[in-house]
Amino acid sequence: MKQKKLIGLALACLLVLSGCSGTVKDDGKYVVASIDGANVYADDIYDELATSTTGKQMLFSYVLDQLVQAYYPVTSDMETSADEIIEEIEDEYDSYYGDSAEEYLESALSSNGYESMDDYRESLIQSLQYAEFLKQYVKDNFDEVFDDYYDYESPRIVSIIKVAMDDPTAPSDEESEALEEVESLLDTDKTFGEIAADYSDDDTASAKGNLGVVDSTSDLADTYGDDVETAILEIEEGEVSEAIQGDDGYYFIYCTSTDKDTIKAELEVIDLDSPLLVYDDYMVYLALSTYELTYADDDIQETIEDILNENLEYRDELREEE
Amino acid sequence: MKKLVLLLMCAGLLTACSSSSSYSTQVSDGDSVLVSDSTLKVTKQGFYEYLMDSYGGNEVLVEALTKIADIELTDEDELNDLVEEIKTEYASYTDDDLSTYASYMGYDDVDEYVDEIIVPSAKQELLRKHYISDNLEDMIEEYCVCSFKKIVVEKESEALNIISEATDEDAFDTLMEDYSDDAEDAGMVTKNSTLDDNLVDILDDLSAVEEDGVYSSAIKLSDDTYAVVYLYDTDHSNTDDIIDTLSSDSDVQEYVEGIYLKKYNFDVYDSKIKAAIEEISDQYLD
Repeated sequence: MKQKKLIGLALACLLVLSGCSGTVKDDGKYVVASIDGANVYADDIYDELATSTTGKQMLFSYVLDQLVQAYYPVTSDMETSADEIIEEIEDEYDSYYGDSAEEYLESALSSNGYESMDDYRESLIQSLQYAEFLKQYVKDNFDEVFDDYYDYESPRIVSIIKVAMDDPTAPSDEESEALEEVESLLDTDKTFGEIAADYSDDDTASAKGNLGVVDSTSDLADTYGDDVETAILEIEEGEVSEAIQGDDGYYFIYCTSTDKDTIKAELEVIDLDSPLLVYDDYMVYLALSTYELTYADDDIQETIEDILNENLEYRDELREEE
Repeated sequence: MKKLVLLLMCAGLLTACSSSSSYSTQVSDGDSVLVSDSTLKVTKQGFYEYLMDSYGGNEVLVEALTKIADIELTDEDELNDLVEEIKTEYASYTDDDLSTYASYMGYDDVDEYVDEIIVPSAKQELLRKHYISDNLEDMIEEYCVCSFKKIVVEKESEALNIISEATDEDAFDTLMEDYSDDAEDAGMVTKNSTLDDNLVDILDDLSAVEEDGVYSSAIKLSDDTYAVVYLYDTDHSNTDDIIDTLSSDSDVQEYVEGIYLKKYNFDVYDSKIKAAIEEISDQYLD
């Protein structure tokens, strides 16, 4: 037992010693590197970097990062969510690339600057921490954020019916018949939701075609194609569109509501899928500005506040241009 | 949720997490707090390590090379001339206004841009040029420097006919006009220039030619066409152009910087920074 303790102690000492073996000090200052006759000190590197324009931007990023870490530490829920996202991505790659999935995934990670899946997972968790940071801001300022969102994004509640086609430019007889049947039904008393539930080939069929609240940040073009997205964002309340050719079929769109109160009620529960968290690229600056920070000196305060104000002013300009 | 996560990642708002292993070097007063509130405490050492994670390796190299340049470069006028030259060049990109250019680069203060970027860059450029100038013949040979014009044709027989007809530079230039769509002056090239692989393979032969004229063979290119090349400036008397070309070659930069760093026994005492430098190039440390 005694011997075990001693070995443990010796190993610990060895670790401490090896950890320190590379350090060199000169006049109490850490030397990072040297050339003949001259040292490069940690203090010099810090001063050079911290006072540079890039260093000032880095200080802002670091303060923001540390604030998010301090207020929204990693939770087991975040870790679970990150694992689920990764599992989803791996499944998608498996189904798409089969035996070569791993190779393609590694290449995709590498081209996006990640050394490994663990590295990517770490970034995912960090982004979930940031999401919590934004979520808290939206919760605390819901009315203000919603008003801005409504003015800026013109959101609407929309339902769709999809008639799937292998090649929408040359539909088969069966596909054409399905399209004609939906068109005919839309001229009857059967509601859009009922037709969607019975005939739509979209995932939303089970929700009577309801897409929920959508806006220009919803990436609808990725799923439905550019023409369908344009129609969704332009359709007036109560209107049903003509059949619109999408990437994988024809679509009918119904705008349930553009009413502010109705949409506000839909968005009152703030979860990580809320469009209120993603519509404003500058929300992170708004959120940071709500914290009352204390600074070591005027220069640091000026650096942080200049970057903050510059971005908030730019945000105001964008809104004035709209 | 996935969308929000991806948006945040793409927006560049997420910076590298602090690394698991820390630096062995410390900044003075590292425990001092730069920014705080009741929950947050941003320390100077934390910020130092954050800076080092992104720029440490590069900044240490710049510092070391600047110190070497300060020892090696004794002609202040030469440095000032190059600084002015770079300032004029950069200003020309933005209506001859360097402050506008500096502003595009993220610098509100033009003097800060000159001190932080242009002067260190000029010092390193001069350092390289001095080495290249002192070792010009070897560098020309090693990097296969040569200048040529070329005509590319479909058939070898056509290429050989051009070789016969191109008795001098004027004759080759006339043929270039005839083949205008398939002819070009490649200018000065090195083995690192963007060229057809088969041309790169033969570049050491082209560089060794000592007399201007048409290269005696048709060069079969990787797309099965044939290149006829006319070599000029084969005496390599255009030393300024050669030095400029070599100096702007990234492989040469790395090589020359490695030579100087080793000459001055460059050593790094923080293993994490050392790893970062080794990642930049394996030529900087023994």
